[in-house]
Amino acid sequence: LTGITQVEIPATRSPSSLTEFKAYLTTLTDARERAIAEASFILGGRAQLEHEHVVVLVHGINTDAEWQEALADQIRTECGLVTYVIGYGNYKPRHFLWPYWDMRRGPIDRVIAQLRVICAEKPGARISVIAHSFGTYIMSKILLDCADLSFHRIQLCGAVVDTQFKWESVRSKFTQLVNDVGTRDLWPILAKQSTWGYGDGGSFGFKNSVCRDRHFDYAHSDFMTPEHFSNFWKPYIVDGEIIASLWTKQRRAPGLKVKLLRMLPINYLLWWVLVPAITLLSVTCAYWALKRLYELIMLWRGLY
Amino acid sequence: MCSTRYDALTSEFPEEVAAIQRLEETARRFADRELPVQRLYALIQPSSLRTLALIMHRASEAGLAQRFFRIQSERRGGIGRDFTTIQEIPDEIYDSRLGCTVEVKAEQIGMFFRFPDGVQV
Repeated sequence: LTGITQVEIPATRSPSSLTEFKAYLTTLTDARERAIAEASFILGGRAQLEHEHVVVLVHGINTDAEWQEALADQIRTECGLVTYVIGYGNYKPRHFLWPYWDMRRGPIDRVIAQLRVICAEKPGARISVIAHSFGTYIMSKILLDCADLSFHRIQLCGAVVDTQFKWESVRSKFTQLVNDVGTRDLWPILAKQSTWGYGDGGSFGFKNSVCRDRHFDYAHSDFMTPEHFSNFWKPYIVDGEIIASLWTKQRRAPGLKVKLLRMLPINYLLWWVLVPAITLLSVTCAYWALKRLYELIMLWRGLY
Repeated sequence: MCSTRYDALTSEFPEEVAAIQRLEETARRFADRELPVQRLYALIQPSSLRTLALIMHRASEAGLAQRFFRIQSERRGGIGRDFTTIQEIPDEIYDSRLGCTVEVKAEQIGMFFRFPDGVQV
């Protein structure tokens, strides 16, 4: 490193300093001095070590989410970022549908605990999240409930969060938010219509100023491919560049099947008709069985 | 073949052996891909920015890396062609993403590196 004078670089990069800097470069005769000056200029006159960027993957229900490991490996290999795969077991649909809130609290608390461990292990790191299906619901709850957790970039897909969710109320908790919508994805609609607390943001988008919707001709789990990651998620997660999807403009209005599904009050049918009917049937059966048992006992007593 | 060229870097910057090993590994992993200088700095962790600039200057001379500058649109994404030095960058440029000619601000300029033959390392 000998023979090179210490280069003095403008401390700030004001709009006018580019012209000044170009003039300054002409005074440097040594190519190595110019290289140092240019690098220093780009980094604002001092070395700004990038904060570590961590990507966390959160899966949905009724799955062992094999895509997580494959995607994590792709992120590590192609982007050089640290990845964490977060899970909460194979969460069954019956738990997902049960409208009693505490059934959903378990997975939420498990994800919160793991995120806090990551924050402790990587202090100062920027945490980006890719969440699918029920993982998006978990993320919406974390954004609402956890004052200590904030995120860099959030990528949602197959979202079962309500389209009425007030993303603007949690705007300070993230840098960017993108929601990938599958126009052939009926599961968010079914989730919304079958129980309470979910929404169909993954089928129609949120149409919110703080969240960018991108539409794809996809079903619920079609997002988890290396191609989709390379084309859409990688530029966003790494550089914040949101690549537009052509399908956003090309898509047509939902068909009759979707419209009917959106109108069908499955939750009321399920919980106010079917469940009471099953309960009534069970009680009737139990009553009949007890009555039959009583008759048998009386018969037995009569015999002896 | 390429390891010899990295050995030449190591002999020139003996105190940066670990950083040059990380550079070699980075070149292998990010073959033919672009890395902004900030990420390169984070990945190879040299002792200083000055050292990074010198190592990368030598790496560019040896053909191990290509350095270029790119103007970033305020709407995200690069605009115009890439430049080999800051002196080449014009004061004004047509921003196709904004649809108008804009004055180039220093904050919009990014320095990138590409490792063209990283796979052969």
